[in-house]
Amino acid sequence: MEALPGERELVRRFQAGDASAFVGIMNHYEPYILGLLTRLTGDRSRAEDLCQETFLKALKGLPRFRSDSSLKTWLFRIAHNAVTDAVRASDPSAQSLEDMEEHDRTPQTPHKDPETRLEEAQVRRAVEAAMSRLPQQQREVLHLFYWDELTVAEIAQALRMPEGTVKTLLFRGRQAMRGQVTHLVSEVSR
Amino acid sequence: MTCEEFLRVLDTRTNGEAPPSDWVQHAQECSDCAFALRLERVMRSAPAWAEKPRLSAARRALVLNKASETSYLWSRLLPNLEESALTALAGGGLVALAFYVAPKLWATSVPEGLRRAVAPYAAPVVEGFHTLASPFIPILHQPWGVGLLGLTGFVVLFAAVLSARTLSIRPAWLRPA
Repeated sequence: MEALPGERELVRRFQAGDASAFVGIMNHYEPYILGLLTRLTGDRSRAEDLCQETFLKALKGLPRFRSDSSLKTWLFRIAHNAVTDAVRASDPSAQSLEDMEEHDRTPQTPHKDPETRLEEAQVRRAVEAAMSRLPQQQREVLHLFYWDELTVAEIAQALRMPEGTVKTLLFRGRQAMRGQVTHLVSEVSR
Repeated sequence: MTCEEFLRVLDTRTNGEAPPSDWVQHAQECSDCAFALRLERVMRSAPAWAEKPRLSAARRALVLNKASETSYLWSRLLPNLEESALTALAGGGLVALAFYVAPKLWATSVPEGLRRAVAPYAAPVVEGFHTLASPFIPILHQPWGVGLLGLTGFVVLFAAVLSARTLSIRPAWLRPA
């Protein structure tokens, strides 16, 4: 993710009463936040609800936001909390995101020589499909790492978890992705 | 290098450093590991090919309208609150200090003649103040009484200062020329 040029200045301007500064912030971060929420909910309409909620919460917090913090990780944390709350509210008996980490849905289908069978676009489609099948925590960490290009430290800050946990989720997520994609490839080539 | 070693290196990478040469060589020899490497590259390039979704126009408008309200409110309200609180704190502190110091100075530093001369005028004022303050004196003997009374005084002063500022009530000598 490219850094938002003049981010601190935009925050300062908003805090000084210039509402147009928020347009710049929203224009830059909206696709990333909405992309993450769409990935996590699997439902564009629900993701838009949560994205709107994220920015409205950001608006409430922005007047007190300290510019020495990272706006990017702060916004991702609000989005993460919004989706976590929504999951809990929609089904209180649902597994927490933490529990989902242990839920391994990686198929163990062996497959020979997948490299030669797929075109680039097919691999991308398989990656997208495989992501939707991962446990939510792994999906979130992989999305933040690959799609939003956050560092491990930034992910840890955004999700309020130790860096070691992020690395573990990244490690398990990659393994699960490989299993899922290989499985999808074998289905396509059948 | 074995496939197991290759995948361990692949799965623990957390930055974009160049892979070791024997690692690349192994990928050329093993199709499964080559696919794993390809998958990693596809995911690394996700920001370039992934969809960049946007909120609907109505939702964007709703958020941005709210931004205007929030920004307007906070930019005007926050400095006003801060300055009113500081004014109330400073004013309250000075008044409290005056009440504490004034009787002592009156007794020790004011010449006897002057005290006698002023007494007929000061007595009704002191008496009136005593009548007003007497209901609050028992509170001072309660635990937290001083703090509670101080806080109440601050809130009253703060509300008064904030109201005056909000309504732009200023004495003539404070108004800009």
